[in-house]
Amino acid sequence: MSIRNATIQLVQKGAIPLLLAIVAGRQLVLTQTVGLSPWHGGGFGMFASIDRDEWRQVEAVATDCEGKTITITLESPSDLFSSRSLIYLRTVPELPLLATVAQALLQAELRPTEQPAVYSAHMASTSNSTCLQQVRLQVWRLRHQRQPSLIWYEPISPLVEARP
Amino acid sequence: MPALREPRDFFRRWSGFVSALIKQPRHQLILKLTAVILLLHGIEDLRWAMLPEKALAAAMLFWPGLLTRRLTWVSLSILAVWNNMGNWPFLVNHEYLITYWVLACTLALYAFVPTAVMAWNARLLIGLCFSFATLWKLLSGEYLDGSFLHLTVLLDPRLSSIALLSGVSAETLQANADLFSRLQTSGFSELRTNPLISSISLLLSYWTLLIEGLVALSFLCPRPRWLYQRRDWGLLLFTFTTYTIIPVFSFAAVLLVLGLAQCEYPQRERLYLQAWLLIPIWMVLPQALFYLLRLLVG
Repeated sequence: MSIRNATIQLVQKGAIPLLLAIVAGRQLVLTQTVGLSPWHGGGFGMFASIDRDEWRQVEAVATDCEGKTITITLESPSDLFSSRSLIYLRTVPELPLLATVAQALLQAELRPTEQPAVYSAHMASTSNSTCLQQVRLQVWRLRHQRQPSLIWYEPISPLVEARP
Repeated sequence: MPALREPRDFFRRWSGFVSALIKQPRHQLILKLTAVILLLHGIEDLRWAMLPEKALAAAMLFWPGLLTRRLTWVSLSILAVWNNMGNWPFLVNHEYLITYWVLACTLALYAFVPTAVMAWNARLLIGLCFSFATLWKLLSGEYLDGSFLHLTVLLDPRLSSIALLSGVSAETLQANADLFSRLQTSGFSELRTNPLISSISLLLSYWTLLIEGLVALSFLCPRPRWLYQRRDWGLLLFTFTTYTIIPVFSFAAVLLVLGLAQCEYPQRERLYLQAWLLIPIWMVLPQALFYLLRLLVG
């Protein structure tokens, strides 16, 4: 068998399984390093972990210029973030992305919601952005204990702070 | 006795239909079934991104000449890989598996014996997919003690039938869902459950681990020989026991196509093909029963 034929056979029989193994290995690494949800990324971690992206929470807490602490809700639909970018943030909470979102919140216009001390974030022009001293952003994952059946949240990303 | 002859006629016709499908060149049948999966699979949010590959798959089914053209499959591969790379965090596992399979089909069309390349890749893809699934269950830390499945039964509406059958009322499930939706990052919530769910979730966890581990081993290792030769039964058992409860059409469909592509026994080939063709019945019927159960119990 010529080298050319041997190479072709190797590609035909080895390339795709190797690709699967590389992608799945990468997913395993990303779950441990940047907090990728095990349900995504091609590592076949679905139905092994309760850490589903839709069960994660993005917590955004701000301090306004009067020193008051307020919570910013990051639910879609929002004119500041698309639902796709919020899903991405929950699924892959990388530091640069968290920093970008925190900066965007710092410059956003905050509007009160029906809940006390909870605000929604909107696109702002320079004139109507809310005066904030600081924004802290963190992504949390769900935890569960079987007996008794307790649920709680734990951070999956570092706490990111943005200041003007 | 015309009433008795009718079902017999139906089964004879069905058998003839399956025989006609299985008689065509194997790679052609596999490519056709794969094209159907490509046409039907997808994620709601990505329907526009997946439109070109669906259109191409539809064209392949409409003009069979396109089905075995290398250029068509190269184009499909490019589209599938492009979609995977652009949307990788949003895609679930079977979307990746479908892309790998499209790539394998493309490579097979460049081989002297396409079915051999398809069979080899299908066996390894199944083995690796189940190996990683097993590995994740062993490593995740919340699977082996049953806590993953326990919580999933309590909170995931797809598994609510298990909770209802275990004696948890619909009101309790709703109360748990409300508790979860109000849960903040600071604090705990205690979900209402019962010891039976706890035991069932543990049992189901170990059953899944066992069957997935056996499928992984039997598809990747030719030894022990008895297990390797019976690998198809493991995959079929997994498919039926899993997707009747959690109906994920694309995953079941691609696993059955991969199973068919690597199968060495004519009777089992027929079984794979029939299981694939009857997905709309065996996957949907239990869901209808679960729905009725929810209505009765709820």
